[in-house]
This record gives sequence, structure tokens and C-alpha cells, in this order.
Amino acid sequence: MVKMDLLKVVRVTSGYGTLTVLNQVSCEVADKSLVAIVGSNGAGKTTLLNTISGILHPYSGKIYFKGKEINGMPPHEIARLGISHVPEGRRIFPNLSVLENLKMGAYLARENMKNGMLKKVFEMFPILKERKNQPARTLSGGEAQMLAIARGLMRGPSLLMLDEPSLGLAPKVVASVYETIEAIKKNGVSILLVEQNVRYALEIADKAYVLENGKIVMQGRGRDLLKNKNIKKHYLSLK
Amino acid sequence: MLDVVAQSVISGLINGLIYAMVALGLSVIYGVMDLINFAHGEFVMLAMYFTFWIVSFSGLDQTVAFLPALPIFFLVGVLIYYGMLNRTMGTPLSQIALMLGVAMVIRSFVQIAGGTAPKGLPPSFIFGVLNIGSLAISYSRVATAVVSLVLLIIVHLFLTKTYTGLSMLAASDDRTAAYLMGINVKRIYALAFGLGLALVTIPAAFLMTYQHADPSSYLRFGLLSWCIVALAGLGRISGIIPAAIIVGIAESLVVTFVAPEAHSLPIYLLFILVIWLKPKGLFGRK
Amino acid sequence: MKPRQFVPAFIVFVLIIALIPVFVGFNEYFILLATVVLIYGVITTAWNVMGGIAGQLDLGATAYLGIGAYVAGNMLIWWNITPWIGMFVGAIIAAGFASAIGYVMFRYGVKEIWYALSTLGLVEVLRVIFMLWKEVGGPLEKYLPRSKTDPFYYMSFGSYIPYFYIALIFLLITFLVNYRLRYSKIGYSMLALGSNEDAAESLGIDTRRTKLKGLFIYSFIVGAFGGFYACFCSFIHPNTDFNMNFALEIAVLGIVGGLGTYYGPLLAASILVSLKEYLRAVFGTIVLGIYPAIFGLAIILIILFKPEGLSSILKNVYIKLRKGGGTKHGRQQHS
Repeated sequence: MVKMDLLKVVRVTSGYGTLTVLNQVSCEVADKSLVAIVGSNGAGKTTLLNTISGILHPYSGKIYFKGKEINGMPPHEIARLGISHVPEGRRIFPNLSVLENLKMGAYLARENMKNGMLKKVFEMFPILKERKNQPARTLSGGEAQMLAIARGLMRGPSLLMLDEPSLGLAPKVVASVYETIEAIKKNGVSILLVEQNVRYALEIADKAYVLENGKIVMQGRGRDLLKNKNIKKHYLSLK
Repeated sequence: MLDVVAQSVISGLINGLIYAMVALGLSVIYGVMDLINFAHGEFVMLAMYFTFWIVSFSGLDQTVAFLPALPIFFLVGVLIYYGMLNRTMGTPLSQIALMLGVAMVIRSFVQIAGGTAPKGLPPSFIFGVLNIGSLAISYSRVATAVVSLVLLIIVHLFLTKTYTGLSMLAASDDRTAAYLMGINVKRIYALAFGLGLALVTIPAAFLMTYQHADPSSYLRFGLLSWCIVALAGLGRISGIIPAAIIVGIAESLVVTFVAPEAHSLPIYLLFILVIWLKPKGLFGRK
Repeated sequence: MKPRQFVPAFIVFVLIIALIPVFVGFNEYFILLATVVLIYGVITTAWNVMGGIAGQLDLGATAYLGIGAYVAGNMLIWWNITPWIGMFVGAIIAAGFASAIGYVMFRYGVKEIWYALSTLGLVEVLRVIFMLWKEVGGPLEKYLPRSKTDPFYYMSFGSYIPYFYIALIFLLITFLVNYRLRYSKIGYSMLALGSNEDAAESLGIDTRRTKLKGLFIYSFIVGAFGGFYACFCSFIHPNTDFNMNFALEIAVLGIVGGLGTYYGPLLAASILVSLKEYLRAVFGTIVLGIYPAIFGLAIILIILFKPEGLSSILKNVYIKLRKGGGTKHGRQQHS
């Protein structure tokens, strides 16, 4: 395959202090694709995203983004290259208004506050436009997740990393979040999605990895994995 | 009687507005970095001495004497951040000890360079007395209170309207998320610390239009500012004003009705009570 | 040092200190200096219970010292009761006061920087109150009665040697309290509390009670020592006894010495207070006020380049002497 991978993670071992969480993990995100990483709680999914975005530095292994080695770089420089990480638990700025949160999202691309980007984001998330002057802490869980994603989009990233976007949301709201994610992908943004909510994630993923105890144990097309016996047994039927 | 109370309250109100400006630098640092600058009072005192020296040597008016001091203080703040605080991030005890060390150096410096005698300046171009009934307030104090309000508004606008200011608030809300936005949080912290120190030069210059500086000035301004910040809570600048006014009026009433020596008592009592009963401040956002 | 090795090391240590007056040829000035070092040593070692082991940044040492000084001092002035009893009463009142304040503070969850600031504020509040409270304090120095015929009863000696040994006894007691505590059950709770309060709570430790116990022990020792301090100064005055800078110095020495070790604070006090007194003696008359600057710089340098505290130097020496036989111990300050 000649098509270049946007993100390439090569045998990365990482963790917190002396606690190793990820063990020799490798994965790729092809340009304009949606890749899902699924696994149970504590498998190391968040650690993987934190390592890619520079919050954690890998003990060993390499991470390439657009062909450039990024492991060991501080998070604000990695962000500059075009990775947007929407962290677990949304992490919106509670005391800033919705609009100010979006402004911070556009910190690296301030022209996006003035050109069509803000309008586009508001079209995608009309509720945010309604509440643009409210402090972000007053938003509901679903609205806060929308804001977190919108904030991540404001700088026009080439890779959007979403950590558990469905966490703590009502099923109806989860469905609308996933509609949004598909819409973002259609706009040409690559997505790396980490989920415990396996069914949703596998349904929309071009490619998916299963992470267990810090190791990749299975990979393949999302819909193929959905039919896999082990997946059905461990992740789907128990739900 | 009512007249005396009214006068005392008005005088306290003016003082409170002035105190708001004195506490502003401390509040910015605390609000952004969640760090109490233990040497804040010492920096206010140092800036008062700077004003004295600048005015004595150049003949500038006090009201503009902060202009040369401001960039120096900003630079010192940035250097202290990169040289000391950045290396001890996450160990608040060490940071407090470091700032105590800095405080001691400043106290010493002021004594060596300025001696122990109080330093006062001739009146600035603002002089005269404003009479409200039988109450006399010098124009210097009124002018200082007005400058305080203007400065607070400017800083408020800076924090809420500019990218740099907003990113300071964002870093204070969620450091990791700020990094993910592409904000260089360390640089923002350095700027905030520099700004916090630079902001003491303006109140110091205006205080010198009607006050003396002496080697113990730090004591008064340090605890005063901590008290205001505790009262205001971790919030936007607007919380400082009511907090400072409460402090100013409480102080003024005690001076009028109890004893002038007791002027610091209400401040500290208020401070301790607020920390105990309302540790997040009266006007905080969290 | 493991607990088993502690006893011989402790005896050697006591003997060395006890012989200081001999080493300096009974020179009164040097004995005075040594006594000042011991005074800092006692208070800082007591502070270590709260500040080091339990990890609460207490800046109120002189609040308890001052209460102890005023209780013992006034008992002697008013009723001619010996400071030996006054010290004990002062300790109880100081510890009672501290516990009452502490109960409220811990009840309302005052911690970290706010605990630090409110204890510091407490010192200043007490100073102002004692300044205004003419019956007990007042702005004039109140001298303690002296007696040539019975110096022991009045704790007023013509030489510094007795003061030195009384302070030494205090130091030994404080030291042993620290040591016993460090390896006791409550000591482990305190250490857990000091390293992470939330984690300690999840382990089922009653953090409020643990803090109160630490505060009680600390303020009791410092309160008792206040009686001695009043006699050593031979007068009581709010500025001397309720001194904020003194309280700050204590905390700084504790931090610089290395938190949670029971000998670190004493080590820091010996080195830095000697340095300070030396600077005061040498430069005090030439350049007024230079010694705080050098003291401050020393603190900055130690924090930046030896963040685990001075005690780590001693430990390294000890390990080298034992050729790797030494073991890691003492809670390191996280850096």
C-alpha cells in the first residue's frame, strides 16, 4: 500500500512513572480514515492517546505524524502539527464561556474565529450557538461533549483524537454524538476514536484495534470485528 | 455619631479601592498559577523604594515613576519563574520556601540600600484636600483610588478579551487541556508571574504620593493582599473590588471606634474567618 | 539509620552536643550561640511533627511559643510561681488553644496554602491582641523577677551554661518524641497523610484526628518551650514572643532540612542558624541587614540544588561510611 499513514505508532511502551501501562503497541491511522481502538476499562486506551498527544512520553518506541517523529515533544508543539486531542471527561474550561472555549480551541489558528470556521462549527452544533455566552460549566453532559469536540475542531486539525465521547451520556445523546463524528469524517478529518462502547465504534470504524492489558490483541475492519465470535462474547453480548 | 460612621465608611471605601490595586498582582498570580506569592508584600515595598529612588534621582513625578520600574519587575518575574518556580512545579512547600528566600533577600536589600529611616516624597502634581462635610480626603488618595479602578478594568479586559489573557484563565481552569489547545503553559505561567510582579509597580508609585516607605511596609501590604485574595476567592478580577472594600471599611471602622493600633486586627480576623468558613472566597467562581 | 542502630548513634550525638561548652572553653559568647542554635533546633524539631511528618505547612510556631511564654512569664510575675511549673501550664494552654483552633480549621477543611496563611495570620492576631491587652501584655517589655539566691527557682542564671543544658534536654525529649512517633502507628498515619491526603483517607485514616494529634504534640512541646524562652530572654513582649518572622524561619529550616526525617530540621538549624549568627556578628555592624539576604540565598540554593533537603547530604555521607550498608529511609520530599 502506497498511501501514507497520517499517524504511525511503532512498538510504543508507555505509562505513568513506574507503572507501565502500554506494552509494545503499534497502530496506524491512514489519511481521511476513522480508526477505533476498543477495549475494556483500564486496557490502556487513554494512556495511548495521552502518549500520542505528548501528555506522557513513551519509555520506548516511536510515534510518527505526517512522517515526522513526534515522541518526546511537548503537547503544545504536537498540537501545532495538527493533532487535536479531545480528552476523556471532556475537560472543557468550566469558567470560560462557550465562545471563549472555542476561542481557546482556535488558539493556534486565530483566523478561524473570523473566517467561516466558527460558522461551520455552529452549524454543526446549533445548541452551542444558542449558549455561546453561558459559562461552560452550565452545559449538560451531551452539550459539554459537543463543546469539547467543537473546541477540538476549531483549529482545523488533520487528526482528531476522541477519548470516550459517549462516556456518561444517555443513549439518545450518544447516537447524535456519533452522527456528528461521521459528519466530521465526511469533511475530510481523520479520526482516532477510543471507546468502551464497542458496538457504536466498530460500526463506523474503517479499521479497529482491540486493546487488552496494554497490548493489541486483534485488529481488522470495524464491521469484520463486529462479527467476530470473541468480540461478540467479550464486548457485545455482555452489554 | 452617624456623621462619624459615614466619614469612617467613606474613608474606608477609598482605602479599599486602593487596596484592590495593591492585591491585584497577587490575585493574578494566584488565579493563574494557583500559587501564593509569599513575597508579594516585599515586592510592593521594593517598588515603593524604586519609586522613591526614581523620583529622587530623575525628578519625575510619582504618578509616572512606575514606567521605568514596570519592565524591570516584569523581567524579574519571568526570571524567577524560569529560574526557580518552573523547577519546583508540583512541590508547593518548596515554592513557598523559595519565595520566602526571595522575600528575605528583598527585605535585606531594602535595608542595605535604603537604610531603616522611612522614605517619603514631596507631593506629586496632585495635591490639596477634598472636603466632604467635615471629612477631609487628600486628592492623592482619591486619584489613587481612581487609578486603581482603571487598572483593574484594564487587567480584566486583558484577561477576558485577549488570547494571552484567556489562555491564562484556561490554564488556571485545566492545565492539561490548555496544553492540548496548543498553549505553551510554561510560557503563560512565566508571563503571569511577570505580570503579577509588574502590577505592583503602579500601586506602589501611587502609594508614594501620600505615604512613606519603610523596611516594614511589606508586612502591612503582604497580609492585606492575602486577606483580599482569600476573600475574593479564585475568581475573575471583579471579585477583588468588593473584597477590598470590605477590608478597607472594616479597617477604617476599627481605627475610628476601637484603636488606631488595632487597624490590622480586623484584616487578619476577617482573613482567618474567611479561610475557615468560606475557603473558596466570598466572590469566587469555583 | 535503622531503629536498632539509633540508640548508639543517639548516645554519641548527645555526648558531642553536651560537650560543646567544653570544646569552646566555656566561652560565654559561643555558649550563647550554641543555645540559640538549640532553641531553633527544638522548635524546628517539634515543628517537624506537624510540618514534616504530617505534611501540614504550619507557620504558627510562635503563636504557641508566645502563649507558653506569656503563661509562664505572667505566672512568675503575678504569683511568683516557678517557670518549671509555668512551663507545664503554658504547654497545656498552648496545646488546648491550638487544638481548639485546629478543630475548627480541620473541621472546615482548611489545608495547604490556606492552612499556612491562617496559622501565620494567627501569630499576627495574637501579637496585636497581646499588644492591646494591657493587663496581660501591652507594648512595654515585662521583665521577669530575678533572684541571686535561688536562680533555679526563677530560671534566671548568670551564665548561659544552664540555659544551654535546659535547651539540650528539651531537644533530646523532642527528638525522642519525633523518633518514637516516626515508627509508631500514628506516625505511619501521619506520613500517609503527608504524602497524599486523599489517598490516606481512602486507606481509612481519619485525617482530621491525625492532624489534630500532630498539632497537639507540636504545640505542647513548643508551648512548654515558650516558658523557657521567656526566661532565656528574661522578659516578655508581643514582638519577641509572637514573631511572624521567627515562625517563618522555623518552617523554612524544617523544609530545608528535609521533610519527614527526624534529624533534618536539627541539621538545618545547626548549619543555617550558626551561619546566620556568624553573619550577624561579622557584617551586622558593617552592613546593616545583610545577613537575611545571605540566609535567604542559602535557602534558595538548597531548595534548587538539594531539593531533598540537607539531611540527604548527611545520609549520603553515612552510606559512604558504611560502604553501601546503609539503607534508604525517611520520607523524601517529592521533587
